[in-house]
Amino acid sequence: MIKVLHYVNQFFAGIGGEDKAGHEVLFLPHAVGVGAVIENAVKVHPIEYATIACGDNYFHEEEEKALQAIRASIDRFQPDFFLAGPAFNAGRYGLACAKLCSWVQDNWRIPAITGMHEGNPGIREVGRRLFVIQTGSSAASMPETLKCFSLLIERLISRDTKAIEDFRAEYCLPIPRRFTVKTDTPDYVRAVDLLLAKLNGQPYESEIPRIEAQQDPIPNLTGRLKDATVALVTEGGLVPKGNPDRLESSRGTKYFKYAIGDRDDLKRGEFQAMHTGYDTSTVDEDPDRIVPLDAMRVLEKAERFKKLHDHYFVTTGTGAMPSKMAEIGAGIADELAGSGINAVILTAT
Amino acid sequence: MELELFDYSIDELRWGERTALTGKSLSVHAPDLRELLKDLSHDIHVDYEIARPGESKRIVHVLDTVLPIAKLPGHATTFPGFDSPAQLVGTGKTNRIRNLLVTVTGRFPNVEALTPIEKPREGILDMGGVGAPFSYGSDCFHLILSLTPASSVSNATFDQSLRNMAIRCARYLAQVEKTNSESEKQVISLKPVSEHLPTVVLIYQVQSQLCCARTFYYAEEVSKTLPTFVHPAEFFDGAVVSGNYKSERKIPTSQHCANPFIAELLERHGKSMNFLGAILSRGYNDSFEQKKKMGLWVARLARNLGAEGAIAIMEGTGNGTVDFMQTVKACEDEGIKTVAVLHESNGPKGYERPLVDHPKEADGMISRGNVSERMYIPPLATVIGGSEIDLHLKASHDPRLPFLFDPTIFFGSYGKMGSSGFRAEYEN
Repeated sequence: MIKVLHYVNQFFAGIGGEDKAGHEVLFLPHAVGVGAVIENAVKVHPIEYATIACGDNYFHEEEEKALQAIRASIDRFQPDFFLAGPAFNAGRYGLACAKLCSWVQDNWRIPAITGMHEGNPGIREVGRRLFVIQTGSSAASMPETLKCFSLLIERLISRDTKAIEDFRAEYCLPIPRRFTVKTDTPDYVRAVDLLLAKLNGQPYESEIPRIEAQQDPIPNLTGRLKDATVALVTEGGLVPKGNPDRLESSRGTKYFKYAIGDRDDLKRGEFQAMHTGYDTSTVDEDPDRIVPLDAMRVLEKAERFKKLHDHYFVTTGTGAMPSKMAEIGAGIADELAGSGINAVILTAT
Repeated sequence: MELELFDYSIDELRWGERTALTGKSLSVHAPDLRELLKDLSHDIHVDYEIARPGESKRIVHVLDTVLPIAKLPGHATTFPGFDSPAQLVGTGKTNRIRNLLVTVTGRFPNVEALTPIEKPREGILDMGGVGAPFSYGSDCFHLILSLTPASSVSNATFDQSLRNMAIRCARYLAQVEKTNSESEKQVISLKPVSEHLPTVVLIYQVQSQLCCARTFYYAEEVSKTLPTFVHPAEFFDGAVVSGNYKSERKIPTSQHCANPFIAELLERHGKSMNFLGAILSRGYNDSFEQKKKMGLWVARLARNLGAEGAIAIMEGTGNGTVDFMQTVKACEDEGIKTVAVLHESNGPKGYERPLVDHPKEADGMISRGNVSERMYIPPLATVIGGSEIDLHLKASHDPRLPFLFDPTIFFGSYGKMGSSGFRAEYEN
C-alpha cells in the first residue's frame, strides 16, 4: 500500500474562499478535489490517499501551530509521498507549498512534490531535490499539471531512477542554486592543478562564481540637516546588559529598538555587544563607540540637526544570510519611515 | 633546512597494562597518562576514552586534536614554547604517529563570562555515518581527554591547561617504547630544483584575535606578529599551534602539523613546481585599512621570496574573508597568480551569494561546498564527551537523537569538506 498525503489550501479543499483563509489545519482521510483526480489517475496501484487542508493566512500567521498539527498528521499517517498544491502563481499558497515540501523532505526524507509557476515567490523556499512541477500562471493549466503529478507518482512507485530524473529534466522548474556535491579529488589537488594551469597559460575556470553584492546607493538628505530628526541604527549587536530580548549573537533573525531618550551617554556595564563577528571588548568598555550617543548629543545641542530619535535600532550582522538581513533592514526602515525620521546614522562593524 | 621524519602508523589502539607500541598496536595504560598530566590537571577532572575510525561513535565538545610528534633525544622539543622553552624547530629527527590524535573535549568553566566572540562553538566529531566525511579526524584513532573543570578554574587557565595537557600527551605518545614497529622515513626539505619550474608559495592565513580565537607560532600569538615566512619543516614540528575554538572553521593543531596543502606542494616540488615555503598571516584584523595592509605585506613578502604563483588558504569565515581577499588582490596586483580555497555559504536553499567578499582579482577559486546546506544527522551508537550539545548558542540538543543541521556543527568541517572532495555546484 502506497500512502500519499496531499496539502491543499482552503479554496482547493472546498472550505471556502478568502473569507476562510484563517481556517486551521484539517486532516481528511481521503482525497479532495484535485487530489481525487490524481488518485483516480494512479488507481492501478493500491493507494491510500489523505488530505491536509489549511487556510492560506492561517499557515503564515500561525506557522508554528500549523506545522505542529501537520507534524502530528504525518507521524500518524506515515506517508510515502507528500504532495502540495499546485499553487500556480498564488503567492501565499506557493510559499506554504514550498516551505512544507522542504520541511517534510528534510524531516521525513520522503519525496515531496509541488507545482507552481516560475514567478511564484514560493520558489525562494524550495529546498534541494524537491520536485517542483512547472505550471502555467493560473489554474487554466490544471489538467496537464495534474497529469504531471500522476506521472511522477507512477515513476516514484516504479523506483525507476532514470525515469524520475528524466521527469525532473522535462517537467520540473529549473531553479539554479548551489549545493554541495562530492568530487573524486580533494581541494588541495584541485587547487594546485588550477594554479599550474594559471601559471602555464592554460585555460582555467574558477569554481566559485563571482556574484556582485547588490549595491544600494546612500540616499541624499532631502531637506535641511538643521531640520532633520536623526536615528541611530547599528548591526553591531548592542543591547542592554543581560540581553533581555535574547538578540542572537550570530545568525540573527531579529531586530530590536531601545530607548535612549533620557540618556546622554551609554554607560559601561549597562550595555553589552552580542556579536560573534568582531572583538566586542572596545564596545563593552564604551558602548558609545558603536552607538555614538554621546557625540550625537553634543551635535544636537549645537543644533547641527533638530532632534535625535528617542530609540536606537539594533540587529546582529554576522553569520546570517544576506536575504535575512535585507528583510531585517526593510523592517527597520519601515518603522523609521513611519516615525518621521529624516536621516539615519548606520554603524557597522 | 632538513627534517627527518620517522612516520609510524597504527592499526589498533587499546587499553593495556603498559603504554607501548608493539608492531602497529598501541596500548595505553591510563594511569601513565594520569601521572604524566598530574601537575596540569588541578581541579580538572580527566576521563580517558578511545575511538577508532569507522566506529559508531560521536565525540562532542571537541576543542582540539594534537598529533603525536616528538623530537629524538638531543634535539629541541616539538611544539616549541609550549610546556618548554622555545627553540628553533624543523631540523633534526622527529617521530610521528600519523594516524593517532590526542583529542581534547570539554566545556569552559565559566562560559557566561566569555564575550560572544570568545565563546567556543560546538564541534562534534562523528567517527562513522553521514557525519564522518564532514568531521576532521574521522579517519584517525583518537585518544580522548575528556575534561571537566571545577568552577574555580578560570577560563584563561582552562584554555592554557587543555593545550599543555594535549601537547604533553602527544609528545609522550610519540616517544613510547616501540617493539617491532617500523617507521617510514621522509625527509622534509626544499631541495634546489630546476630553475625552469614555476615558483609557488603557500599563503596560510589563520584566525588570531584574542583568547579562544587565536593561533600561536612558537607559542606567540600570531596577532602580535607581521606576516612571516615559515619553512614547511617547522609545521611538521608543531611550530604552529591552535588556540581557536571556532570549531567548524578551525585548523586543528594536528592539521597545522600535517597540512594536506603543504604535503601536496612538497609532493609536487621538483616535479611541476618549485615550492618556496609558506607565508603565515592572520585574518580578522579590526579595520579595513589593517586588512588591506596585511594583504599588501603578504604580497610584498611573496614577491621577495620570488613567487610567481600562490595557493592561499584561510582559517575562518565572514570577517576573515575580507583580509583573505585583500591578500589575493594584492598578490594578483603584484603579478603573482593566485588560487584561493574557500567554503561557500549559499544558504539552506542554495540561492544566497556564495562569498561575503569577492573582488574580481580572485578569479581562481576552489570551493569546499555549501556549508549552510541542511543535512539530516542520525545518531551514532555511542556519545563521548557530554550528554547535550549546543546548536550554536540557539538551542541545545541531545546528541543521541537525530537532528537537522548544517555542516557547521562538525569539528574542523570546512577543512575536512575540502579534503573529502566536496565542492558546491549549480543544481536545478
